[in-house]
Amino acid sequence: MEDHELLNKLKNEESRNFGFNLMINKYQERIYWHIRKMVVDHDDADDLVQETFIKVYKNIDNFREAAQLYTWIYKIATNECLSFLRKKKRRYFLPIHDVAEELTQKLDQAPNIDGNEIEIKLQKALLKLPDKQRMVFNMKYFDEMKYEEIAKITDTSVGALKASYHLAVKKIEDFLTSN
Amino acid sequence: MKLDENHKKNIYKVPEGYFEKLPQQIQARIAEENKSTSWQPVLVLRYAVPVILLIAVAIYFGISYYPQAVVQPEDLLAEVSTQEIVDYLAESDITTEELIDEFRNDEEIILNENNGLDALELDLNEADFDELLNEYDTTQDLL
Repeated sequence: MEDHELLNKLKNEESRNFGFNLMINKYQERIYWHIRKMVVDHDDADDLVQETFIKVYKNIDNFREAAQLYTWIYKIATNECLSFLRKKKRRYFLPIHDVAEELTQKLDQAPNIDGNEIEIKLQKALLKLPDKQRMVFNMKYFDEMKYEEIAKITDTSVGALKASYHLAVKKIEDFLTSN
Repeated sequence: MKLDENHKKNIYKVPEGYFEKLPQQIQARIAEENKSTSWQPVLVLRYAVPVILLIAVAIYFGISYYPQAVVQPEDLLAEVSTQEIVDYLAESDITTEELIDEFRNDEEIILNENNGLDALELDLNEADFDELLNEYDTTQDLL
């Protein structure tokens, strides 16, 4: 179903729940993987993806149809992720705790992870990047999104995104080479 | 090492049947949240109304126990003694003329030019008289 048809159902009180169900089925996997790649842990990703869709449901009447529905949902998911990671860092205010280190350990120990040495090493390299840069890299490299789409989601210029992505690629290649 | 397509494999896995159950879980959470917001007005009525009634009763009895009387000006004046009024008038800036005007019709008070000189008819010797004059310095008034 096209987004504009979905939106019509969502905006209508009678068909809202049905439309919402259709929307979840259409976008849940993409949103889940977008979040999961950032937070690593399945349970955290599960919480955040549910929060994302609940926020979409509650704010559907405020959705400005100038933007695309998918872009809007993606944006909410991105904010939920970054907010979650920020709070995680703030919770551990002592400098001895490193959230990136915690996520790296989950890569080694978590049961829902299956990859070869190089693939896991790539994920560890990504965890060395700042959160927003890591997110941009994921959207470009793994999700193969266009810079213009990423720009709308992150409210960042295309030029800044290109620079960020190329810098991220260089850092990762250096890490993989030296490790 | 250069990044290429080979590195794009998704290493993360999900529990069996996760995506089949996810829509239901989300809908259940929304229904739960809607339910919790709908019974809040009932809770407010159940607990807030008795508290408000209690406060209203307390205020009512508080006012009854400590009534505030309206004070009349005459009551305030009655609390001031005659001596205090006399002392006040002695220190006040009321002139003799103002006093005369005030009591013009009062027959008990008769102003005599010699009132101030009655003291001379007393048996005062010169020293006593000088002392009296010093005590009551009239030079300021005369000037």
